[in-house]
Amino acid sequence: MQGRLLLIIFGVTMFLLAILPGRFSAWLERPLVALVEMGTAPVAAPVNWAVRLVRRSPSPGFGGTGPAAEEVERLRQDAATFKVLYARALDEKERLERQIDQLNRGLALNPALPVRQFPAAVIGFHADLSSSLMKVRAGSVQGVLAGTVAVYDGVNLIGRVLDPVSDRVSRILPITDRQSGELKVAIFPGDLAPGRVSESSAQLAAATNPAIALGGPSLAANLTPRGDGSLVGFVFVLNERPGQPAPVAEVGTLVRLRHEAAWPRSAQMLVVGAIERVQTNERGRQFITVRPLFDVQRLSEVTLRLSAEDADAASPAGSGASPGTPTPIRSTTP
Amino acid sequence: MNRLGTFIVGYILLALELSLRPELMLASSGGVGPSPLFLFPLVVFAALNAPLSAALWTAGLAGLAVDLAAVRPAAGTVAMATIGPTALGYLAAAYFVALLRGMIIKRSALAFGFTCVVSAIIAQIVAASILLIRGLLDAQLAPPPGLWLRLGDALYTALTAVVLFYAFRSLAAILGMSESGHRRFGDFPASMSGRR
Repeated sequence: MQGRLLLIIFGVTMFLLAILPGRFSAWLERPLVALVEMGTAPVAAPVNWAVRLVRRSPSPGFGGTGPAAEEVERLRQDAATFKVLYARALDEKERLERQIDQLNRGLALNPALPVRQFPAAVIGFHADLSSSLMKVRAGSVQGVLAGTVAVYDGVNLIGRVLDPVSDRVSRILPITDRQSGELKVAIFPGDLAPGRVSESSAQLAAATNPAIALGGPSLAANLTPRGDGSLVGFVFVLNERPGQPAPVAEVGTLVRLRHEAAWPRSAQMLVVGAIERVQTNERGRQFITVRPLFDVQRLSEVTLRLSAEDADAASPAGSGASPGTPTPIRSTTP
Repeated sequence: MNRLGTFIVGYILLALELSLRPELMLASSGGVGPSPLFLFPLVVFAALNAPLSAALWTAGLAGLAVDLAAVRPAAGTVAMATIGPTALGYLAAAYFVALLRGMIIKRSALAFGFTCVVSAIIAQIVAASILLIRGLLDAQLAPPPGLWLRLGDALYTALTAVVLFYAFRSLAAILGMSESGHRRFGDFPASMSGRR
């Protein structure tokens, strides 16, 4: 009788917790979730490792083996890093010009902030596969905060860390998840993904000279995740120059984040993906499908980027965690 | 039923569910396809072979563990788990199986697989209904998987159920769940069971 009563109480409790909004059950849910995660990690992590071993996927976006291929790969990564730095420098130049105007009107400057990066192993995904939330082994002990940006290979944007952040585990919401929201991006014709060849002669010149690619007329788009690993949206022209042909989006062109309202400055110009498909509607507007250069499901490690800007935003005192010394040139510090 | 043995086996199955389910997911145009359940066959096995109260507690706690492991984004900034829907779904499924266990062939893997599919469908319908109610009350929660996807998961579970059936039979001593003559709503008194 007592057992049956307890079971009824359990059932009623589960029903109430199921229908009440999250804010009423968060106090109970968070420690229990942490307990389950901590408890299952010792078995789940080795199985994940074994699965990756069986699949033998060395690098989710770029292939090749051998010393020469490794050197080419290293050079590609360096080139991608420098392109991000250059694009960010151009963006920073525009921002400073705006800030100079604001200074003249007496507004305060925000100093450029260094970024601290550290790798975090991917330890799994969540049981609800309708969401692509990733779990990584890095938490508040390492200085990770809600909103910390995660990248792959230094320049490829993966997503952001969600609240709550436990001591040793964080959850990242990929940009390709429907819940991550809209992304504003910039597209520089000629800024092609590795291994891509431009189909237009004008953009071929830009492809061989990143300065032309990243400093010329650009396109912008508001991308929405479709939930199948891709993002879609209409393209519109920015910075059209008189006398120059209007830029067009081309398959294989890289798409970079340009969304200061929702993402920290240290994340601007990171690569969102490459254009996979371009469709033109009857009004001549281009509709693009963008896919990241890597498969989120195959990642075994991500890089978390923590800037003083993020730390200050999270700390009421304003000083926040020290970001440490800037990282070497291989990273994407401004 | 051996609680410790069942807990250990359930723990391993939960970890397998978290790590193997994404790998076994079928591709679909929407990006997310059906994937098999690993912990649910244990719930059904307990419902078939364990005393009713033990089976229901196993189902409730297993469902609660799955709920706590199924974290989803809310409002794009917070990750949260929804406690309750899977626990209640598994409870309903276990009770359904316990009602009919006198009529189910317990030594057949195919019968076990079929029972898992039917009861998983019930569990998914219950969970989806509760999440629907929750969605109406909490707009910030990310939309849960649709019912068709959940039904696909239930059908796919037949495969894991057949495989796990043989594992459970070999682990029957550890689980403490033998194919004894449990009645629908309780065991025979020890003096009448004829078993020692």
